[in-house]
Amino acid sequence: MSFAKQNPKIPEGINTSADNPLKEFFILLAGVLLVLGVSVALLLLLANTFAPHIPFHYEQQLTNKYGEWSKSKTESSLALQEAEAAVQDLGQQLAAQADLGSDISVHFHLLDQAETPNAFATLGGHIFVTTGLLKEVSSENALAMVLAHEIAHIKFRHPAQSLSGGLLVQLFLSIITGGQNATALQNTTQQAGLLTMLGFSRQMESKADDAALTTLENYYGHLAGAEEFFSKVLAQHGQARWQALFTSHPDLRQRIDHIQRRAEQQSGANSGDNTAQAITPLDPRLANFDA
Amino acid sequence: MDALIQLGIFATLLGFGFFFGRRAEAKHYQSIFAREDELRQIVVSTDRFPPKEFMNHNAALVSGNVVISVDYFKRVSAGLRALVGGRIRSYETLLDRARREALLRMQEQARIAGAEAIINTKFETSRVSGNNNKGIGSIEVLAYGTALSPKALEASTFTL
Repeated sequence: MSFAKQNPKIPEGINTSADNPLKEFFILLAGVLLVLGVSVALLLLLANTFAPHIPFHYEQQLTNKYGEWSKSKTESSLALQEAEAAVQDLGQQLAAQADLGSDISVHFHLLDQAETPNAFATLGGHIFVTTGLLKEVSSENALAMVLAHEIAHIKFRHPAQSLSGGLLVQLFLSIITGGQNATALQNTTQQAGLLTMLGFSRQMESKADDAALTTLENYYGHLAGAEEFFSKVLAQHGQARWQALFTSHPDLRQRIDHIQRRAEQQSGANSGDNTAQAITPLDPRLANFDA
Repeated sequence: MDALIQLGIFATLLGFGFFFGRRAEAKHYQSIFAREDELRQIVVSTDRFPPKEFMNHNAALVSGNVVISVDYFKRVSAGLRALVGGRIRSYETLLDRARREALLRMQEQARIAGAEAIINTKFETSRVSGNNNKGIGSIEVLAYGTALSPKALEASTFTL
């Protein structure tokens, strides 16, 4: 047994590879993101398909504190209470025309936020309208369009779809990241029982618009004045106080066009009696409302 | 917005990890190649017993150890790999560098001791990880062996 005179030179690349690590990284990343994306899309599809079949009283149980909250506003002014009653009256009349499911009921609440014109629908059939919105509408028709739109969200169970989709996706992400997303999940779960504005998809919004127009047609017999509020949002979207509404409805232009198209079609069909197109003035309780 | 900031931090760390990690690796390999050539005369073997011509040499323990840190990019890359399985190439270079560096340090020690060869070479590897497994880990490689250095000439003639 004897030694070599020196250590042999071992060729490189046996224990390691000369491939650029970035290549491997991006292939892996793309693969993982693809699988994640497909899974999230599947979960959302699942939520959208099955959420409308969740019994409506589950939603109501989650949110029954809204009702108490509305009743407990004893310190609010008489004008505000009357205005809320007026919104409630108009809303219930519209809801009667909206072809709601037998188990679904809607409740209207007025939020004392004069600076932010907004309206939103959330779980349990609760619809919130800000006093800022009341100041921006000049006719009952415009207000009715907004209310009918929110009623349609409730009718199609959009709040349940949106929330259960969000919850499923966050649950999924928190499982695969090993709990790093747990705070986000917790926030969403807590939001379920709170007063929140839920994000709705573009399809949901246009579906709600369509149903709302049908409701208005049933209620008034025409669609005049329906797009007023939305036109106003579009015209003033640069102003800060409109920003919240505008960012949650980025495709307003298309929606207004759609409303106008349907209004034209409808008036074309009824061209015989223009007298029926009269715009209904606001309920005095709302018109005289001064926050 | 929060998510965007987090994503930005993540991407920045990843970029830093990749840039500095890659630069450090390239420089380290250059140094490894140069020193391997330089120390080629000190023969490293895993034989347990010295060959005949070294029978009369002095034996001494020599060792070399090194700790190398994983960079952020390697760690994320390995994390992605852990989802699907397969060779973690980003860790392979890390271990290769550590093993060869440890050998070189052992050889360096042997050269200072005047040794001609090292027998019975062994490796030990351990993980040095801080922060409860959540931080960036690092690896330690220890190489040790028996260095054989010729006895002084007068001494060897005296014993004959």
